[in-house]
Amino acid sequence: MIVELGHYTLVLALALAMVQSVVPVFGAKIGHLGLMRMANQTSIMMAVLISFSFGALTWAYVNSDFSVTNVWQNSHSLQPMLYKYSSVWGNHEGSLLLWVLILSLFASMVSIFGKNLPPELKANVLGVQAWILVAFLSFVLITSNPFERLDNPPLEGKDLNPILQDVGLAIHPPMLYIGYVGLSITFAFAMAALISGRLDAAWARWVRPWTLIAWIFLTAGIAMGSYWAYYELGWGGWWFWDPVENASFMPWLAATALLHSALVMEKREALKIWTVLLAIVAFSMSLLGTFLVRSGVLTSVHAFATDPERGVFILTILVLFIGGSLTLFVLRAGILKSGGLFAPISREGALVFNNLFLTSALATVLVGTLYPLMLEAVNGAKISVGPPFFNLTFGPLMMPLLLAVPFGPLLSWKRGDLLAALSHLYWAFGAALLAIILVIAFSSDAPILAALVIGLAFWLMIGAFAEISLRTDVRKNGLAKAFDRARGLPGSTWGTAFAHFGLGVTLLGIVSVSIFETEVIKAMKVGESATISGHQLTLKGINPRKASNYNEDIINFEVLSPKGEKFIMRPAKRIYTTRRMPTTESAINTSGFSQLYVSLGEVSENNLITVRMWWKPQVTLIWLGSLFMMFGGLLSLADRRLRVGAPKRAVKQAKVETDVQVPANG
Amino acid sequence: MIFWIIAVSVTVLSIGIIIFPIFGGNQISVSTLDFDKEIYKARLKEIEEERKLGSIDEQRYQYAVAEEGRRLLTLADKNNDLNSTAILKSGKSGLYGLIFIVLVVPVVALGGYSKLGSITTPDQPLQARLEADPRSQSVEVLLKRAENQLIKNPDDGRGWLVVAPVYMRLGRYQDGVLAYRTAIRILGATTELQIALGEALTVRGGGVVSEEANELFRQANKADPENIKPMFFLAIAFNQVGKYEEAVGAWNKLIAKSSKNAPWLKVARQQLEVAKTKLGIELPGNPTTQDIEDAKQLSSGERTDFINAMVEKLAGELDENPQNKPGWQRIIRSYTVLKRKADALAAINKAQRLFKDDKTFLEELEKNKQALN
Repeated sequence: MIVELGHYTLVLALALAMVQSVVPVFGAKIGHLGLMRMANQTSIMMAVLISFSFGALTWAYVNSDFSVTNVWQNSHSLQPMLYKYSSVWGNHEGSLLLWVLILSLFASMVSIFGKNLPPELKANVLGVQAWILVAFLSFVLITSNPFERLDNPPLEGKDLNPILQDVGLAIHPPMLYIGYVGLSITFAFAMAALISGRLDAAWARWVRPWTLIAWIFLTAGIAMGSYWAYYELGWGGWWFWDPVENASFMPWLAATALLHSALVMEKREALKIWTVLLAIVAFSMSLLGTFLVRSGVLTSVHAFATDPERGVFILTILVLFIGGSLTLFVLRAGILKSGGLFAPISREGALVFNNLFLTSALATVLVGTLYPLMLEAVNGAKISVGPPFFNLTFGPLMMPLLLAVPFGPLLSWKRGDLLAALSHLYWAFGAALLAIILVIAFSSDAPILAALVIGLAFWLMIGAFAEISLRTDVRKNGLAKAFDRARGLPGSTWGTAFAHFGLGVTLLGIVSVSIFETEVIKAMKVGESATISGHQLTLKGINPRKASNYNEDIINFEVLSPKGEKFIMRPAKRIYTTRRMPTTESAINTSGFSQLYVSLGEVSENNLITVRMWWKPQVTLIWLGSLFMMFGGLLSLADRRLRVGAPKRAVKQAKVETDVQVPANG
Repeated sequence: MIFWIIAVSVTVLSIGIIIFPIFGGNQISVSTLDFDKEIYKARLKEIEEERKLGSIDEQRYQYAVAEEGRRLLTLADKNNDLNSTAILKSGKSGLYGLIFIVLVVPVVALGGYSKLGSITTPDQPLQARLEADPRSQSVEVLLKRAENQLIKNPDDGRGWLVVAPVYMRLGRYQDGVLAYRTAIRILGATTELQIALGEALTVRGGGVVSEEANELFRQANKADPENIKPMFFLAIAFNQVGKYEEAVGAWNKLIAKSSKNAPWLKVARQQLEVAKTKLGIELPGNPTTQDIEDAKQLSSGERTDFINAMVEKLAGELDENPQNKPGWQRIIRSYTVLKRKADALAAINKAQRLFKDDKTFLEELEKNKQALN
C-alpha cells in the first residue's frame, strides 16, 4: 500500500498544482489577498505530498519490491545500500521524480523565505512555478510513471547500470538538478514581472541569491560529473564537449551571465529588461538540457522518432515555456521601465562586456550541440561536432573575457577609470609576465600560446584579489587595520575574489594538462615494467575478488616515483554479474596537484594486459578551481546584505496575520 | 478499503489546508510599494555600514546616499498615485476560488489515480516474499531463500548440497556445477559428491563426458566398484573418445551387473551395439573408414564418381532396410549437393511416408523440400 499511496499523493500533487497555477494568479489580478495567500500553503503541501511519493519509491528500492516495474528494471537485491538509494534517480522515471521533487521544494522555499515579498509578486511567482510543476508532473504520470506495477514480480532485479554504481554518480544528478531547477525561481520571478508589468525593488534583491544557489549547485554538479567521467570511463579525459555535458554547461553559462547582470540591476537598477531576458534564457537552457538528456534524442534522432511519446511531450513543454515566455517578453517588456545610465568604461560597462561574451559563448555551444541533431533530423547524416569546433569558437571567445575579469571589480559604478584600475593590477601583471617567461625558459616544447594562457591564468588568480588589496590597503593602514577592514568587507566582495581566483585556477589546470600531459600504452605481463614521466610501474600480479554484485580482477602495480617513494596502484576490470557488463576501474595516484592515472585495456590470450598510463600535471586544479568558485558563491550568498525585512505596517498586524512575521533582517 | 479511507482523508485534509487562508485573518491594506521602500531603507543602512568600516570613500558614499534618496523620493510620489489600486480586498471572488478548488482537486486526484493506479497490487518487498509460508511458495522462491542464506553463510556445505540438484532441475547447469564444486571444497570429496559433480559437468557439456568428469568417475569407480553410475558414464566416455574395445568390455560388465529390468539397459545395449559396430561391423549405410581413406586418394573427377557410387550403395541399403533415419537424412543431403533434384524430392517424399509419426523429422524434411524449390 505504501507504493500505491506514493502514487496517489503524486496525482494529488498534480491536482494541487493545477489549482495553484490558476488561483493565486487570479487573486493577484483582482487584488484578493486570500486567494494570493493560499499559494503559500499549497506550495508547502505539494512539497509534502511529492516528498512522500519520492519516499515511497525509495522505500520500494530499499526493500527490493520488484512488483514496481521501475525497481525491477533498475536495481538488484544485492546492491550495496548506497546504490539502492541512488538507483532511485539512476533511471529515467526516478530522475524525473527527483526533478519534480526539487521543483516543489524550491517553490515551498519561496513561500517560506519570501515573507518580505510583496504579496502580488509572490502569488505570481508561485503561480508560475506551479505551471512548471503541472507540466512536469503530467509528464511523469503520463509518459514516465515510476509507479507502474508488475503482476508477477520476478525474484531478482536487472541491476542498476554498472557505470552508475559509483559514489560520484550517486550525488551528481541531485546537484545538477538543484542547479537546473533553481533557475526556475528566477524564471518565475521574470514571468511574474512580465505578468504584473512592474519590477519591484525586491525583484533585484531576489534574483541574485536564487541564481547564486542554482549556480553553486550547477558548478558542483558539472565539476562532479566531469571528475566522474575522468575516473570512471577510463579514458582519462575530463571534458568531451559531449551533448550531455553541454546540456549542463549551457545553463551554467547563462546563469553566470545572469549573476553578473543581476548585480548591475541590484545596485544600479540598470539592465532590467536584459536581466529579465537572461532569466528566461537561463531556465530555457535548463529545460533544453532536460529535453536533450531525457527525450532520448541524443542516442539517435531516429530512435526518438520511432518512440516519440516522451520526446514529443518534453518538446511540447519546451515550446510552451520558452515560446510562451519569450512571447510574453516581447509583448510586455516595453512596459518595464529601464534604469540608470552609465558610461562604457564603468562597472556596469564591464558587466555588460561580460554578458556579451558569455551569451555569445552560450550561442556557440548551443549551435555546436544542436547542429548535428538538426542535420540528422533533416538528411539522416550522423556527424559529430567535436572538440575542434568548440576549441576554435568557444576558446577565442573566452580569452578577451578572462583578460577583462580582473578589471571589473576595480571600476567604479557609472563612470570608471581604466588606467587607475590598471595601476592596481601591476602585481597581477608582473606575475603573469613572470609565468610566461618561466614557461618559455624551462619548457622547450611548449607552444607560445600555452605560455600566454598560463600567464593569463596567473593574471586571473592574482588579479582576483586586487579589489580586496585596494580596499584594505595594507601600506596605508598597517596590518591590523587592514585585517579589520578585510573582515568587514561584504561577503560578495570576498565571493567575487574567490570565484574569479577559482576561474584562474581551473584555467591553469586545463592548460597544463592539455599541453604537458604524457601518455604511455603498453601490453604488459606480470613482472614487466613501464616508465612514464619518471615513474616506474611494475605489474606485480592479478588478484581476483568477488563482491556482492560483481567479480573483479585487481591488477597490482608497484610504482616507484621520481622522488623514490614506493606505492601500490590497483586498477581493476569488473564484470557485473546480472547485466554481464564489464567496466574498467582506473587507479589514480595524486601527488601535489598532479595525478598518475592507470587504466586497463584488453587482456589478450597469453595474459598480456594492455595498460594505459597517463601523467597528468596539475590536473586536479581543474576541479579545485571549481571548488574555489563554489566557495566564492557561498560567501556571496552568506552576505548579510541580501536579507530584507517586511514593511513595518505589515509587521504591526502580524499578530492577526499568519504568514507575515518578524522581519528576517537582524 | 483502507487505502481509499487514507486517500480520501489526505485529499480532504489538503483541501482544508489550502482553502483556510482564503478566509482566514483580516484583509489588510498594505501597498506593495511599502515593500520596495523597505528595501531602499535596507540599502541605505548598508551604505552607512560600509562607510563606518571605511571600505568606501567619502565621495562614493555621498553618491550612493544621494542615489538611494532619489529613488526613495520617486517611490513616495508613486505611492501617492498608486495607493488606491494597491488596496487588497476580499469578497465574493474568494468564494469562486473555493468552489474551483473543491471541484478540481478531488476530481483530478481520485479520477486520475483510478485511471493510473494499480490498487489491487500489494507491496511485495523481497524479504517478506522470501519469509512467507514455505508451503505456499514456488521452487524459485525457496531457491532464492536458500541462496540468500548462502550469501550470508557461504561455508554452509549442506546448503550448497541442497541448492545444487535444484539448479540442475531448473536447467541452471552452470550454477549446479558451481554449487557441487563448492560443496566438495567445504565437505571434502565423497564418492557420492564426485559422481554428482561428474554428472552435472556432463549435463552441462551437453552429454559429453569431459576429462575432468571422467577422472571423477574413475575415482568413484575405484572407491565403489559396485556402483553402476560411474560405470555407465565411463562406458559412455569410452564410446565418445573412440576406445571401442574398452567400451564393449565396460558395457558388457555393466549389463551383467544390472538387474533384468533396469531402466538404463536399453541405452546400454544400444551403446554396446554402436561400439561393436565400430569395431568390426559398420552400421548399415555409413561409409566405412576404408571408404573415406580411399576417397582422399582420388582426383576430383574420380571423387565425384566415387561419391555417386557411395550414394547408390546407400540407396540400395535403404531399399532393403528403410527404417534408417540417418540414412535418409544423408541421402537427401547427398542428392541435394549433387544437384539431383528429382531424386532428392523422391527421397523426401518416401521418407515423409515412412516417418509420418516423427514430427520434428517431418519438419526437417519439409524444410529440405522448400530449400530445393
